[in-house]
Amino acid sequence: MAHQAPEVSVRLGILAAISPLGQLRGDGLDLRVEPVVGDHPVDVSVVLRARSIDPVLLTQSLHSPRSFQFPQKKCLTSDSTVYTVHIQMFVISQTDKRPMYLQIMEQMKQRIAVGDWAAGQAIPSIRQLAVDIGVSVITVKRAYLELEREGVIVTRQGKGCFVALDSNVGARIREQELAQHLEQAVRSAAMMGLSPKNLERRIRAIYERVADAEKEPV
Amino acid sequence: MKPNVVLRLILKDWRLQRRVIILSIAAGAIALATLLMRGQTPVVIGAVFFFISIIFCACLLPITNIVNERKKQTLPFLMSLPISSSRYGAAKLLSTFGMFLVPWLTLVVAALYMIVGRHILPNGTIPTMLILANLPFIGFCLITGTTLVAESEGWANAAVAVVNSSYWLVWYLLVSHVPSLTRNWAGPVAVWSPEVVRILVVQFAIVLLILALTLYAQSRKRNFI
Amino acid sequence: MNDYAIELSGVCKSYRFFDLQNIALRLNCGTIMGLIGPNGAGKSTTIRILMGLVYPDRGEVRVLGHCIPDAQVAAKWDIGFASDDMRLYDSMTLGWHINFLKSIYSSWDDAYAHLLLKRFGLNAEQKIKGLSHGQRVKAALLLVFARRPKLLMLDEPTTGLDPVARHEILRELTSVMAEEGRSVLFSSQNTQDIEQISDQITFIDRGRIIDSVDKELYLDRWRRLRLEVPDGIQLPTLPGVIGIRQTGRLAVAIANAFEPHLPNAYENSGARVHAVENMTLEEIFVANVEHSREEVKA
Repeated sequence: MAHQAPEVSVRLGILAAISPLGQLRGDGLDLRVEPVVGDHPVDVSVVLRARSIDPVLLTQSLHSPRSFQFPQKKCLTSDSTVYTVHIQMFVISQTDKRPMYLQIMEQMKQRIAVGDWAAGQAIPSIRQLAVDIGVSVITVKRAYLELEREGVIVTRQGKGCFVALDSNVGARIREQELAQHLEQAVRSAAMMGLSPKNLERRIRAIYERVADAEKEPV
Repeated sequence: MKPNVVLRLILKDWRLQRRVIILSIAAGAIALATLLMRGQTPVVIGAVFFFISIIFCACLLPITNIVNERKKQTLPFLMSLPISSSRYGAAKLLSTFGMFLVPWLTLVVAALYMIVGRHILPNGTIPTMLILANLPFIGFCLITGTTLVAESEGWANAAVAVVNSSYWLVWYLLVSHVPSLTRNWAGPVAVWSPEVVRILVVQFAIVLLILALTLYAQSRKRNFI
Repeated sequence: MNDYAIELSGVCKSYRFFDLQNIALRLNCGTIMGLIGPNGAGKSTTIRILMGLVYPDRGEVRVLGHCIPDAQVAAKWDIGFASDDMRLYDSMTLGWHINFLKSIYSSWDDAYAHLLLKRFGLNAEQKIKGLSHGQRVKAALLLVFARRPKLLMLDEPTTGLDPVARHEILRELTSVMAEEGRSVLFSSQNTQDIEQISDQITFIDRGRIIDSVDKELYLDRWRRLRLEVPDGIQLPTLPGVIGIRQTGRLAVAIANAFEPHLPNAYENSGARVHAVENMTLEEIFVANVEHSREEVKA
């Protein structure tokens, strides 16, 4: 029996973007999911939810866009079919020595720095992110507060949370990271008793080494 | 309108004790069948067997229905439902009673049938028979009440032992002190002498008292686990 | 309507070999509280008192605004409870239990129940006696989650579960927070679980509450400082430091009220600070319990 391919909408759990990603074909549903992240593997739960079928659950780790195939009998040819795709954005490590809120902050800053989250873009609410990562609301709240204090994100009353419009956010974040790394290096040097001149010499040596490596023919 | 949790619990008990209920009905049916056979011996055997199975039910049902909740550790699950300890106790009493009433009422009806329908015994025995049939009922109330309040197998067994060993004593006391019980046995008419009526009323009152005490003790409980 | 899902004040309960003394606790609506303590500390007893399963000798108990145990029936309509000593009916199937609860609670979410059956890998047709321990725990929790109660009180929900099952349960617990106004109280031996999902942490030991605090603030207050102590230097006692362990020239100081100037104070005394480390909840827990036991003795 031939079906008219209905508009299938897939809601990406966190990004709240709705885009048609799947097409109902004669032998089933071909659902294509493109994770909106760089080369981080991302945990994807694909839940096929529609009337009169049991929710079909599928969890995969995605490195790159991929297609899911659902056989015909699991699909329903109805124009009210909604397929919910849920993507977990962050991975929090329990064995990482740093507190969780710092890990969250860093990963959010990375997203912004690499451009996954554009300036001015809406980001998940505190509650949404907490539920999604599986951590306490208070931890995410703290991360958001610190990020707002640093000017990386802004909260607009009643509208939600957004990446700061400051177009230099990415650059500023990188600048902050560099400052942190430098401070760490200086502290370690001081503990070892290295003089500033000595430290300078060593930084120069590393700089040259890195520059040479980049010039090497691949 | 909130659903009736007590009713749900009663139905749950009957569903869980399905096997026991069916067994007791089967025992009653077998006994009834033997009673209906011709001849004296089957009647006697049937009657005795029936009576024993009633007493057995009186002991078994409270234990399987009540003590098992604690033994099988399902009590926290039940008490997490929107119910108080008094309502829980009431639900347990009602469900256990319901299970017992089936065989007991069958006994009474069968006995009445034997007397009035089949004329195996003269009508004069009706009052005595009723009083006799009430004894395991009172025994059952006592065992159930104790088991519910104490919620331990030890107490349940103690109640069973005490009750079972006192049936004959009570019967002996009744027969020896109330002559009207045996005086009109052989008569064709049931005679409801004032003593007989008084005994029946006292039996009824005892049942009510046991139930009231049980519910009261249950409502005073402070630890359910 | 209250701001607190749970309020305990002055609650005492005496047993033959154990006393719960002066328990005071408050759980804000819409948050998760983790109850942590050694075995026999009184976690289960506290939760039982909250559920009206045990009556306290003294004190006030309020759950969702209702007085316990007087209004426990009204409260229990909105509470989901599961404990590790609770069992379901062995001879009945999981599906029977689902139908039983469905007949009582109108808030039952059937679609969610089916999703959880798949997620937890459970079969509704299976009898409880045929389930492994982990599956039984998940079954009991499924019965609680699918009701979507306003308050969940769980006594050791992840004990005895394999890592995958634990992960699944923690995800479901945090997903409760997706709806505002729903709260969770859970006790656990596993400090990692508590550290990850709790908004508030309560420490209990030997029948007394040691601390009941905001998790982030609490974790921030504790530090471990690794110090090098040259010969002849005496480490000063500083406020906020609850213990120093020194062997040879290396020392470890545990601070429970860390201030940024603390390392400087040590540096000024002649010692060298090698590292200032955050502590995991497990380490804090052990240090806290030992410290409070010493205080009680003194």
